[in-house]
Amino acid sequence: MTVRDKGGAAVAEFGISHYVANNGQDECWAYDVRDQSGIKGTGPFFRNSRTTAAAVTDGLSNTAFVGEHTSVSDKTWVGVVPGAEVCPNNPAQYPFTACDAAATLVLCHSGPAAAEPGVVHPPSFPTCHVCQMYAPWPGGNVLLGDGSVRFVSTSVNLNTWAALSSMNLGDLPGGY
Amino acid sequence: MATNRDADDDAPDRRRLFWMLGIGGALLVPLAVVWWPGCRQYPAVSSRESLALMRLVYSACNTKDPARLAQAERRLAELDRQGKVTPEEKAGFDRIIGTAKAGKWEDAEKASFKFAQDQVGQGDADPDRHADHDHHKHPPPKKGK
Repeated sequence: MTVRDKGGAAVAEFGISHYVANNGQDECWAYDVRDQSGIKGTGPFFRNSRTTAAAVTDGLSNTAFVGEHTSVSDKTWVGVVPGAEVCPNNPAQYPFTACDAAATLVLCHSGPAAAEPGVVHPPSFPTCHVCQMYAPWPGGNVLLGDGSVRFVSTSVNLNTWAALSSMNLGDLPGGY
Repeated sequence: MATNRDADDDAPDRRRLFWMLGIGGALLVPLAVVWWPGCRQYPAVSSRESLALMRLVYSACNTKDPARLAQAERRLAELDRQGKVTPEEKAGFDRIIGTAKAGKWEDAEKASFKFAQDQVGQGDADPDRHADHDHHKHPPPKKGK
C-alpha cells in the first residue's frame, strides 16, 4: 500500500494489512495535542501503549484487541507515519467518509467518542469510516485478549459492542 | 456439408446453452431488483451531519434507548433549522423515529439500517474530504484520561 500525506504525496510503501488494533471507544488521535503519547485509550492500543494483562480489568476474554478492516481503506502493521493521512479507497462507494489521521493506519475505535456521543459503530456498518472495523460481510472477526477469535455480527447489541471495545470501564459485554 | 447426424450431435449442446442462459437470466433478475437504484427506499443524505444522525438513530434503535432517541430527535430538529437535511431525508428520519417511539424498536432498527445501506454507492458527495475529520475538534482531554 502507498502511504500518503495530506497533500496526496507518497511518503512510504508498506505491506498491507486487513486488521486494525483496538483503541477503544473514543479515538485518541482526535485530540488537538502535539504529543498524543499521553492520551490513553480505553482499548488496549494507543500511542506508545504498553498494556499489561493486569490493566485489562474488564477481562481479557471481554476485550477486543484486533479486528478486521478492509475495502474502505488500506491499513498496515508496519507503523504510523507522522503527517500521513488515511483516505477511503472508493469515495463514491462510501459517501461522506472523510480522510482521517495517521494513527488510523493501524488503529480503530468503536464509539461512543467524545465528538459523537451516543453513537456506536458495529463491525461492518454500511456507512463505516476509515477509523472503524469493516469487512464486506455482515460482521467481523475479532481477536479477543485471551487469544480467542469470535465473529461479531453487525447487528450485535451496541452496548455489548461498546463494552467489548473497552478494557477498563467495568462494562462487561454479557452474551453475544 | 452438414448431415442430419451432425445436427443431432449439436442438439445436446444447444439444449445445455438454452438451460444455462435461462438459469443465468433467472438469477440476474432478482440481483437487478436488489441493486437497482430505484429500489432504494431512502434518499442519499446531503451532509456529513445527516450521516452522523443516521448512525445515532441506528444506535438508539439497536439499543432500544429512549434517551438516545430523544437526542436524535433534538439533533434532527437542529439540522432541519440549519438546512442540513432535505425534506426527503427528514421524512425518512421522522418515520423511523416515530416507529421507535411507538415501541416498534426492531422495525425501527431494520429501517435505520436500510437507510444506511441505501447510502452505499450513492457517489462521492463530500465537498472537502481532506478537511479535518469531523472528530478533530476536541480540546485536549483531561489529564489521566
